[in-house]
Amino acid sequence: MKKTAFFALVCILFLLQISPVLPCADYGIRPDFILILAIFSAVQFPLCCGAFIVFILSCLMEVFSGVNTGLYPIIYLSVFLSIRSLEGYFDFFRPLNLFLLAIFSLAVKFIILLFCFNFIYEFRHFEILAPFLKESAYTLLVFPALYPLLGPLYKKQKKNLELKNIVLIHEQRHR
Amino acid sequence: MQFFIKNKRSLFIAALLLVALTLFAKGIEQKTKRSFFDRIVLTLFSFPLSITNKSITAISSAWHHYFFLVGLNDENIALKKRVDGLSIDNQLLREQSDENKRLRELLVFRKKFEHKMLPAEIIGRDPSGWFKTVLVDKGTLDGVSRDAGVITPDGVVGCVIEAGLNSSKVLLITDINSYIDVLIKRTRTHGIVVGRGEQTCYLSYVLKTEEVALDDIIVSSGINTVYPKGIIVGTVTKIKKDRSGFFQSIEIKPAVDFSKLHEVLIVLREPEKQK
Repeated sequence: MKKTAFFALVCILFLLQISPVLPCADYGIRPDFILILAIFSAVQFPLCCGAFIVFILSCLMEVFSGVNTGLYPIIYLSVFLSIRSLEGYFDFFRPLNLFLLAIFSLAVKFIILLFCFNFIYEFRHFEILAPFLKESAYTLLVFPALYPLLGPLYKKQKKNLELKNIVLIHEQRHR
Repeated sequence: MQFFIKNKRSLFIAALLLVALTLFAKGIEQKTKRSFFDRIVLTLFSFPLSITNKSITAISSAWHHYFFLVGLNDENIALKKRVDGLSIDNQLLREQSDENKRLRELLVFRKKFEHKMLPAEIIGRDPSGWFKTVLVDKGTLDGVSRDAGVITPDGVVGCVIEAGLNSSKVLLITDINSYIDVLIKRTRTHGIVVGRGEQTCYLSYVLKTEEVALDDIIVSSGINTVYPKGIIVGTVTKIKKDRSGFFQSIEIKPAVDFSKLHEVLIVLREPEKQK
């Protein structure tokens, strides 16, 4: 049931992302819900499952956005893997850390966008900075509201991870 | 074999990354070619998108016309209810009248040109702010094909880059991948309008020796058969002549206000041209 609720929420967010009636959609800039879902998947899901969800979401995004550039799978998979690489050093379940994680993810996204827009479309970096900052601001505003909405759907996962940590600590002590 | 079993998770991630990189490399190589998968997804999503669009519009209309007015003075509740009802009716009538006006304009505009034109409604926008595309509610079943021009009475909107069965994706002229062959109406000078992903576009490949003035009107040249000849693309808002280079740097304001785009006309291509 929780999984169904999660995927229903993902569908709603995706439709909202495409819908023309979303506020602030007039200028084409809106919060990046897919990035928030990528962060959520990186924190809550097992590695392969999370990567697959992020890949599918980014492929869907690719279908609806612009011409075919293959940009989104690169962005969201990189965000996913960057977060996973921090797994050992970072407590993902603290609200402040999660917010920092969102900023970190936006930075990863910016680096890839900068690379893409500089080398493929020959943009100067300050040209993408203004829309990027706007988009980031919207995303960071939505993030604290949306993330707790997603959170309860996978609390079990969190408990499992806590248990896994306890088992690991005991194993180390035995050795 | 054991290596594969032992590292299956890492291999899975590596495979996903490889697919993503291949898509990226292929995307750079052939920017406008779309796969069968894309067409299927577009077709599948057109129905929920259309429903979402209509329901959100209905909810937002209900919110703005009713719920927003609930928290006012108790004394006026009865009176306000009546006013609300009337204002909803009024609003709906006005909306219908506006829609009628827009559709009538579209009809008059359609009759002016020889090309067959199909009215369509916007049902979705680009999910990111980086590219400029919209989804319309007409597809191959209605006769829409790839590279069909999309216009409004105000001017050029863009062209169809992907046609599903009952929806199509339109690349706006402001997108960074958009190029249109145009003429400066006053001087008949040729140029190419290039999108920059913003609200404005650039007119490229106009020699410094050519005369261009502010407020000059830019129209489609009709060369590439995507758009009929003479449709307004925009007006010149900024001209810059650098010391180096052969060409002028010209900024143009599109004739169409993309933030208020609701209905468009798709220029249907003739059957022999579709091949």
